[in-house]
Amino acid sequence: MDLFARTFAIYLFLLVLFRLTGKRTLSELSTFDFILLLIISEATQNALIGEDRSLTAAAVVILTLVLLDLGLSFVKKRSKTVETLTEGVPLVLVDHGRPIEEHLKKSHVTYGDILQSARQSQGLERMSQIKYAVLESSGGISVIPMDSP
Amino acid sequence: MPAPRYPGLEIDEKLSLQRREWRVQRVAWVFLYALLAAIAFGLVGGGPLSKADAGSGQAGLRMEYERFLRYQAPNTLRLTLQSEAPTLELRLDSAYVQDVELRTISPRPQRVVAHDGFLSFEFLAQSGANIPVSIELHPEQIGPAAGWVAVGDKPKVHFRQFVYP
Repeated sequence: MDLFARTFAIYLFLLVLFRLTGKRTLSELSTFDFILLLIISEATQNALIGEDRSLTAAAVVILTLVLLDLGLSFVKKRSKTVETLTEGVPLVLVDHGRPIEEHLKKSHVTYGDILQSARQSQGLERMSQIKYAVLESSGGISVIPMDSP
Repeated sequence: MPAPRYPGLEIDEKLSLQRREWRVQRVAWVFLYALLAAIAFGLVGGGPLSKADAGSGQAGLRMEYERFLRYQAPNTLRLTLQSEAPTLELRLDSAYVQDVELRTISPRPQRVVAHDGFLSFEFLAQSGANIPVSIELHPEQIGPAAGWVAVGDKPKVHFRQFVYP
């Protein structure tokens, strides 16, 4: 019971924390993000397993996490409210070459971020070539080039 | 149905929800940073908020301890005992010992006697000296923990701690 409670608590904590600290936290892994991820995983493991090195403990933790995640996916599909709560909504950042300043400022996305995504996904060169750029709920920026129908 | 903001783009954007999310996030950040500051000052152990002293000349002992402990995190009670005779008896509440597993006592007691309600540790000591004793603990129970220590029959020194999960 103890193991399940701790796993559940950590899962909830990580979910809420990453939701509260903003969309872009885990989207594209820079070197620093990668290091952060490694350290978080170490810290989590210590809390969950502690001094218990049995196979059973590992199995319980893994089972709990997988089933919690599955359960959450299921609830998200059934309820739009839950989905919006946990995932958020997409946000338009650029409209026909013009960046929407308020949206960029509030979501902490820079021109550079948008242009990088435009180059990487569409091979575009300038802001004016972007028809729409959207900050997806996953944290990535999707770009629709100007010529598309 | 209001005219679409972005012609041609089928998207789920809900600015009212988005703005609410941003407001909630800002509040959350303030709270989280305040929490971090409190933690830095010892809210979960290891800082000015957590360090405490107990004891008196009358009780013949002084103790430094942490108010906040964490589950399974080793912790030490540092006592200074005044010895009056060649042997020094330190008593420790056994209810406390059940919650917070005893790992080591340094210096090693010559004898440990289990009484009803407390453990008695007997040390050989030089008369008139201030003897430092450290007791290493390993909390195994979450929640409030209360205990007492005493030198022989002298007044008990009570203390309270809290073990975070």
